[in-house]
Amino acid sequence: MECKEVLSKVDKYYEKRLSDIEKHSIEKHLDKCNTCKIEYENLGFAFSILDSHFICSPDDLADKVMIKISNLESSKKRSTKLLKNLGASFVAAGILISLLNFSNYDYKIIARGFYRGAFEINQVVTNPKTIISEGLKYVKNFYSFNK
Amino acid sequence: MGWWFNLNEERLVCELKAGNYSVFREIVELFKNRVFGMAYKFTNNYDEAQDLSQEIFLKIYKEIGGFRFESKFSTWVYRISINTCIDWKRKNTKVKTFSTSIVNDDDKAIELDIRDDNPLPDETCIISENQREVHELVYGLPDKYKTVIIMYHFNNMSYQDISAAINVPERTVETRLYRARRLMKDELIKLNERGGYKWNAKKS
Repeated sequence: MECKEVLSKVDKYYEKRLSDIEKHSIEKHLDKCNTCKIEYENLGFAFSILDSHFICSPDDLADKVMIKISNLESSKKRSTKLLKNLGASFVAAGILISLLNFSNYDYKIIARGFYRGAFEINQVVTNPKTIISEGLKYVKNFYSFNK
Repeated sequence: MGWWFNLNEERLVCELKAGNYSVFREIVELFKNRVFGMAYKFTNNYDEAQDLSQEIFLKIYKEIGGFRFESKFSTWVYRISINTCIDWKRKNTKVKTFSTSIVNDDDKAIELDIRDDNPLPDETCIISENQREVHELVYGLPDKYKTVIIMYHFNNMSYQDISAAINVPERTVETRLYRARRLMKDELIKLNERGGYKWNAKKS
């Protein structure tokens, strides 16, 4: 075996990808050729250094990952709930609109009713004293009528 | 599903797909050293490697639904890991620096970026001096060589698995490994001549 061929097979030699015959002829060549022997030794040590290199992860890595995953799952649940509520609201609104469309009532009258209701609520909020005193008047009249 | 598929991994993946996310801890325990080692080789910083490892595992968790048992589970995990590491490097091209400012003659503050090469206290705990020198050499390699060195020597992957993980022909993997090892060998010789890595002791 020539030096060129021997040197081209260093990697395969250390990766144990050579046949016994190839391995034997390389070893025979290395016994005679010092240049190839040095190259083989140097690469052999590079291989052993790389193969023995090891880095250990921090002890709490798994805990930290699981905390992140738990947070991710919680936020997923929250957004699913939000989507469900939003979906239900859309369905309810759809049903209401369909009822309005198919009913015999004029939608303008219904809309006016909604407006009046909203207006009265607004009045209670903005001016509660007047509304309460008017309410008390009704109560007073009711009692005097019963007497 | 391939015959190479590990039964334990298959069970874990199926349980995860069924929504039992607590079994993911077993996957993290299985791959944490190799994923962290990979992240550390790209960040060269203990804290950033922790953050990057967490990001990798989170990505694996999010994408596990798309795993179709078409390759080894480990190959799939390392593919995601290496892609996330390369993306991280693209986004964080700035070197590990700390900033300080001095005032010059014109009373104007000048920002200085000084490279901080000293390992953090945590780093010195997890890695010995010799291992640190090897780590620095691998960290200094171009990404395409670093990737194959990590996969072959540290993650014990075959040429076929590396080829599938990084999507290049097996012949390219072989050529890259050939060149990467020679770069490593030359650097180790230089380091030895400077009195660094004590590999002569092993030689004799």
